[in-house]
Amino acid sequence: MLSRSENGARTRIIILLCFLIFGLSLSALFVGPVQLSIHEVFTGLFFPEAETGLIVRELRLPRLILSLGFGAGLGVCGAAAQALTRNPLADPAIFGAPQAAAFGAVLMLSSGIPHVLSFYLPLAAISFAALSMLVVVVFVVSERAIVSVLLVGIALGSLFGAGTSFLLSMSENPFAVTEIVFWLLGSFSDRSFVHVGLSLPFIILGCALLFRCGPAYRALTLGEDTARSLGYNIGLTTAVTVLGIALTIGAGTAVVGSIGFVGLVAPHLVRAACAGDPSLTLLPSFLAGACITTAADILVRCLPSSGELHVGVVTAITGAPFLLYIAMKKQNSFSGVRG
Amino acid sequence: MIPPGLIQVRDNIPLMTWRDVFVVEDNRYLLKNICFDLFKDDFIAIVGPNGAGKTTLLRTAAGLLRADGYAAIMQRQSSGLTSRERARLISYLPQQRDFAWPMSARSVVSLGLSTFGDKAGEHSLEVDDSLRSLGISHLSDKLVNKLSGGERARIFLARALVSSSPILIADEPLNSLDPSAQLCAIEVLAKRAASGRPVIAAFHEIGLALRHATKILIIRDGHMLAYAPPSTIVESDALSRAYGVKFNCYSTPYGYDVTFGR
Repeated sequence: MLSRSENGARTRIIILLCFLIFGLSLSALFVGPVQLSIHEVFTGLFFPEAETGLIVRELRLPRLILSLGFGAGLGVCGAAAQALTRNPLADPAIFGAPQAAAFGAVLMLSSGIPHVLSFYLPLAAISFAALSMLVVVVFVVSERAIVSVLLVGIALGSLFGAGTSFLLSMSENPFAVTEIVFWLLGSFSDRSFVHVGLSLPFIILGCALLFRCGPAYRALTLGEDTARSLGYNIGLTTAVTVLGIALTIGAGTAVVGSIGFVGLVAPHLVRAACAGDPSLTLLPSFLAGACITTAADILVRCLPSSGELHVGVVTAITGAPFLLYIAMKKQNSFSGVRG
Repeated sequence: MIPPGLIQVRDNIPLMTWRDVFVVEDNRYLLKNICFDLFKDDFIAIVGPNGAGKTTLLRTAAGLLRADGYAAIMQRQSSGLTSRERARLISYLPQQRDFAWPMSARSVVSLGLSTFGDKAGEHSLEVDDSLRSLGISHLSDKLVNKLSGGERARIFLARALVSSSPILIADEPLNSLDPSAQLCAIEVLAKRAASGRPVIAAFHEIGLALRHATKILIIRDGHMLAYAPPSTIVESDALSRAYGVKFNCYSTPYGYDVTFGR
């Protein structure tokens, strides 16, 4: 097993991340267009009748819960996707999940049937993410190799991405297009407890499924044959992973839009402290994802801009250079060896 | 279900029995009419030219490929075993020595203990023993991606050896090892078999296989050309027929050895 020092490094990073989450959560309740004192935040939090109760409880708290929950979900989805595909550059997007969820929501918005804040929007996104995942799962059942699953995921992602563009260009209402484009950029602002209630249970369920696959991810480190010879059912592991990612990403994307790069970056921030073991990477990635997303959401509220910047923009702007850094850094310090 | 630690092996009953086993893929026979018995102190060396079906045979034996015919492990049809039961009976070393993440050698070896459903906890004694038996204790805390190909191959062999499963199936375990490491590794395999935990392994090191294995199974194009003890193999022309080059077997102070040419 792990030597003492490696285990210690993982414990330290978990404790550090927990403190960070606590600190970021507090700051997230303070930061916003309306300046509140410590006293006002706490009275608003615990006494609904208080003057600031509306701002703290109805605006900032659901926003904080969503950013923590979806961020954590993104982190653990990234760690799971990387562990399953044994590829350090994997991300839930390669399974087509966020693209399909976005397509579902855009389809609903452009049809013009419901109001933008109705339940139809998240429901459509969840169903399309699930549909895309279902197609992937069917391929998992018929074909065991992970590579073919990836190809299906990429094909579906491109298909749904193109479908979204098609719907945007066909839209007659310019306001609807603006609305859709902003929604696609990803944001936690103006989200209520209705959104929390609609997405959080699915995110928790999805994460629980992914955490259960930890031992199989560990065995997969040495390849599919070795994992199967150790008694793991890799077809089942793939199916459970796909379902877990669909639930988490589908529900999250439905209510906050696409937030890129968190799933990719979070596992890399913590991997070295986990001695490369993918099953030990899941929990720190979960915490790191929550930290990154909440920090990005605080940042967009602090930056002076005409409207509010979208959190998806911030994560992409900071995440893309990190991706370049991964690509440029010596390959063997991030991943293993094939062949 | 077979509980771990309660696997009883009797002398006269084979742990593995194959009768007329076929493997078909894309209307082509990868294996045809393979028959053998694996008794408790057997060390079967599979030899044959590239593409003869050695890996197919070993993957089938490990339960990773579906086969037709009678293939039994501990008197039970292999396909009827759950993957978990099979994992408790068989430890398998694939030919590919790839790993996805930079892990320490000790962590890689300890993966051999993480059979499904069993807690891979503080088994560091077994890990240490396995590393020591192959003479690589000094590598235990190094990252596998920083090691040479031969060192890495030995770490992977240690990973397969550490398992408590009675049967070991190893695909070219001596690949990319230096002569002294080859000798050390095949002695470990022979000792394991002699102690009642049989080994099936594919080899290109024919001299070493003749010297240390108890039986040689020669295949070519998926067919068995011979299945006999080394003393019989060296008297026959089976090796020459398998590889299509002239094999000359002779005795040395260490045991049998071979030279080949045209």
